[in-house]
Amino acid sequence: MNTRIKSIIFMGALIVMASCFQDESLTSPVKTHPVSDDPIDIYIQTNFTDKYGVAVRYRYVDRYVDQNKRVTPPKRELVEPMLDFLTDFWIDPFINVPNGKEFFQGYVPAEVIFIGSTIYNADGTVTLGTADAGARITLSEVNDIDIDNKVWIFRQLGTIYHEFAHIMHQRNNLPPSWQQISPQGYTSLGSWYNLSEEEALQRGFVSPYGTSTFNEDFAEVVAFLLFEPEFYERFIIDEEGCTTSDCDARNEGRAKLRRKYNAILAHYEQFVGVDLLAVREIIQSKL
Amino acid sequence: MNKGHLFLWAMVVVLFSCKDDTVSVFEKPADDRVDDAVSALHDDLIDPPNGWKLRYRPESGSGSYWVFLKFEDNGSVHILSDLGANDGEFFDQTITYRVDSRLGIELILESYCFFSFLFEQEQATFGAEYEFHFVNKTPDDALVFRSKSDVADATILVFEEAGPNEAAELLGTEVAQNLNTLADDLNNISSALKVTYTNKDLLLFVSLDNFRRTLTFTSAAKKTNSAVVQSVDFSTPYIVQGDSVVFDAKLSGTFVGVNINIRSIKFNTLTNGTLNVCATPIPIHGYTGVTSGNDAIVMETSLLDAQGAGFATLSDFYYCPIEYIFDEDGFSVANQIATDVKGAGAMQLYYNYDLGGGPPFYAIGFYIQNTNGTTTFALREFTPTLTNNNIVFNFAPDISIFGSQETEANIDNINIYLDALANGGDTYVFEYADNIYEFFNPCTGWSFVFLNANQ
Repeated sequence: MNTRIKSIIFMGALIVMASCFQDESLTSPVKTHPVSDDPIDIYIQTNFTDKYGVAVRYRYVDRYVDQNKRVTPPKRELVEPMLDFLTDFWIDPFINVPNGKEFFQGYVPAEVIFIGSTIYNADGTVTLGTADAGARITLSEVNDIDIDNKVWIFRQLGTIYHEFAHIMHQRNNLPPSWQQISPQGYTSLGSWYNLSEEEALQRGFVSPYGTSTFNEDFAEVVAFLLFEPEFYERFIIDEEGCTTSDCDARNEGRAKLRRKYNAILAHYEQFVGVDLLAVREIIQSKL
Repeated sequence: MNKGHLFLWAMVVVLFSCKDDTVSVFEKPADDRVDDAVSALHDDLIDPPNGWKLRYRPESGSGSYWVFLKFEDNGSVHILSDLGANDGEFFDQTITYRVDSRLGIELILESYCFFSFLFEQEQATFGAEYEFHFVNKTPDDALVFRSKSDVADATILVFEEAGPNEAAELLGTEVAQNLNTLADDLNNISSALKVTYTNKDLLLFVSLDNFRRTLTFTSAAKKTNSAVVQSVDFSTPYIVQGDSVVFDAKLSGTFVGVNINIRSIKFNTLTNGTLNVCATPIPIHGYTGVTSGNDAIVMETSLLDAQGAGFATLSDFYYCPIEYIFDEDGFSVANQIATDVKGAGAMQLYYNYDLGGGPPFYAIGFYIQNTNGTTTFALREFTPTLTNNNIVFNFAPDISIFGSQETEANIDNINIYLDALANGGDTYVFEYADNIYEFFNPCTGWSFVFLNANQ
């Protein structure tokens, strides 16, 4: 191809490239949403979003729940009591220990979702709470809030602390050698619910659900450590004078749980500088 | 033509090709059109001065509710209904709503309300909804919505503009609450009501499902001789409308020799009464009214169920899973039984059972699965006395063990549950559904739901 033709092609290409750009702006208008003047929204903005960067979703949006699950929204009048419950039992215990405020602000998920009912699954079972990749915690049964009902309180706290603990291991992995403490105790996929609490303890777990995976085991121990008033009696201190094989087996399970307990305390101290026992003390003083 | 000219012509064509290349099928971009549609529905919703009325049937086969909705520009909606549950919580509610766009334009009721209460019934399988797809606006300005959460047979909802006094005229809050009072009198599962005709020799036995809003007339009997019984087997959905209950279908026919027609019942006064079958009288209620056939009636709580005694002839063997045993507060006692009678799986009732010769076998007790894989049947034999639907268990003094004689279960503990069932000879049997019977003791408050094992 001679030089003249190359020049023509080059000039033509320049003209083509330049010719279509006029009036073709790539700037699309940014949609803005008016600031809500709903008192609940203002309360959440002031006490949760501005302080800790967490958005609390209480108005029903279906994309927060799997399509094959059925739920109802929370009652409006119960949203603030539920927010106060979170403040009392989740935020305050963490931010009032050394390094706790930084830890909470750094690890709190971006969204907390309130569901009024339990989460009804298609197979007839129910789900109490979920967490999605450390970004969102979903709390169910908000409509049943009753701060005098220990069953409800322990169920909610179990969910909150469990899901919050998942974020810890997602950021910092599990404690060293965690998988070697009770490797034979884990159940096969989807079969944890066939186990009794007694059997779980004998295997070195605080609950049957903890036997489902290493991560769930970690989250369950953290949760029980924080909310269970009889944590030491049930899971740490050996029964004395055992005369049955079941009793011996429970103590063997407790020996494994003591290793998990120490590993968790050290893990939190090492990576976030938080003394979980100090957090537990505050929580227990409120129960 | 040389190559240079060819390129020059090509460039001219390309340059001209960039002019007028915008083809506008719509006047506005997609986002603007979606915004317009959302705004249009929002504006329509808030427009009527008296709001909207809705005759709401949550699923086919259920009854209906009158519902009034007044949408406000600030995102709130005021909902009036005559659902009498939770002490009238859903008579008057204000929550927030949202008009949104996903795959279409949607109306979402964002907080718990009348609609979500119904949605949650029966483990959230009842076909109510609180999310709606907007379908269209009709020529007479009604707004049509389709349920978003119904998997099949989606409910269609038609919002019609409400008149100034329609809510007061159509909502039957007092009737709904009084029907709840009647249904809750005995705290049993099978709602057992008796309709007594004042001017005719007729009793009708009725089961009421007051959130599904269906009435089932199970049987009729003569007022002067309740042993003269005729099966009715008529069910209809209904709507509460002002001071009346209006049936979807008319009950008409001749029952125990009395001809009747009922399309609706207009209720008057709720009265107090007592049932005196237990040591402590049980407070109950009656509701006076007039049928559409102009017959005065009283609907009242009753322990009589003319169909209940039918269990004795339907089958000789029933079973009751331990999950179907309920205490006086209506809670399943399955966990308690599992502790008291280790390995208990179900209660069993042998009634006029043929053991292969010999006298008929009558016994009730527990089926026990032992940890060593064997099975024990711990039964207490009895002689029955059945009067109408009242069964008295005249128990043998001891528990009989069949199957494996070795069991870890504490056999004596089965008497805890037999006492709750039979205490005082006050066990009444109600037909809950085909082949399912509720054995209810009003004095202990316990219910046992037995299923026909031969079905």
